[in-house]
Amino acid sequence: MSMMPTRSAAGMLYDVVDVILDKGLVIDAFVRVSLVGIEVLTVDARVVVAGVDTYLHFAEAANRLDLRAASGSLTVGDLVGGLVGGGAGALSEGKTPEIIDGGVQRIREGRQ
Amino acid sequence: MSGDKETPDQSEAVAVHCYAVCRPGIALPEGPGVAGATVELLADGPVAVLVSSLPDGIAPADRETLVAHARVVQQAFEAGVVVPLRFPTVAPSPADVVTQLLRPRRAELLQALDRLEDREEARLRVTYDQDAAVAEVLVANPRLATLRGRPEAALPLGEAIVTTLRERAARDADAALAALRGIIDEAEIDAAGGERDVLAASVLVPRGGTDRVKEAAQSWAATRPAVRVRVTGPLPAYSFARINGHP
Repeated sequence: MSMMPTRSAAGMLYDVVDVILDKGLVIDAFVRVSLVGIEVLTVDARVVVAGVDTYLHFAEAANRLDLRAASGSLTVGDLVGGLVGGGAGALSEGKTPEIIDGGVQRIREGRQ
Repeated sequence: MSGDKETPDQSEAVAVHCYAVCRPGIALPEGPGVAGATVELLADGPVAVLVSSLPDGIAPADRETLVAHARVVQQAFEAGVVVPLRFPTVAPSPADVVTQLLRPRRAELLQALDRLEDREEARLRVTYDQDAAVAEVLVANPRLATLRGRPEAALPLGEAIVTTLRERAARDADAALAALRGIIDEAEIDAAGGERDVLAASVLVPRGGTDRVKEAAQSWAATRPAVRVRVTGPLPAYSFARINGHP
């Protein structure tokens, strides 16, 4: 019990850095000092890619995908079934950690 | 010149970093606070603030400062009710904390403490697995699938996929929140993110409710192969720290 709070607080930081920086009660009377370095922590996590680059990125993703697994059964439900069953490994495996850790990774890169 | 009374404004005129409003009986967090300073409780009647000395009035602008702040607030939250203050809040002196915050705002602070009593915050992130989501879009729109592999069609193809994903994300965001109805007391939804982001939100739940949010969000996502959910918590109610309706 005594060790948990410290570990969990540090471990959670990457998930909640936006909340810690953006939320909380503002006391008008007291100065909120702007810490330049802190912005580096968050800026990359908030980048939203948009426009042509985004379109090309998704077109490339579409080109790369192997839809043969779904070719014989063109319903989403069938494809879904295949994914859940683990048959379409290219679509279902290996991506989850990247997605989940993506934000964390960007934050880490941002402060280095 | 009488020397009868000390003047706190002069003897304690050192700036303090403020962490959170709490009740005076709370157990002090272990370990150092921002800039390695000892965390103390400044109480006035039924309300108090966790503070630590910050002689220069400014902390190093680094990760260590942020972690130290978050750790103190987190530990205090695990010991009792807290109303987190915006990072970084620095008061000119301990006396100012009393005269400009605790005393004049006592009623509102008590109200905020009552509102967050036995509550916790959970962060909810819903995203798409890019490839799975794109595959679903293509399967559902065979016409789009025919544009694949044609360089001249790359832009229209990509734009159509992005548009479809955004429309889907809006519906899925509503559905994800609907799946949590009855479990959460309040929700604060972040501004829209990128193409793979469905929803980022903070939810206020009764203590221990983060696990229920996790279960409900995961069972909702289980029926949607392209959807990934991540629930983080329990956290101090950063996103719900308000007095008079204002953060």
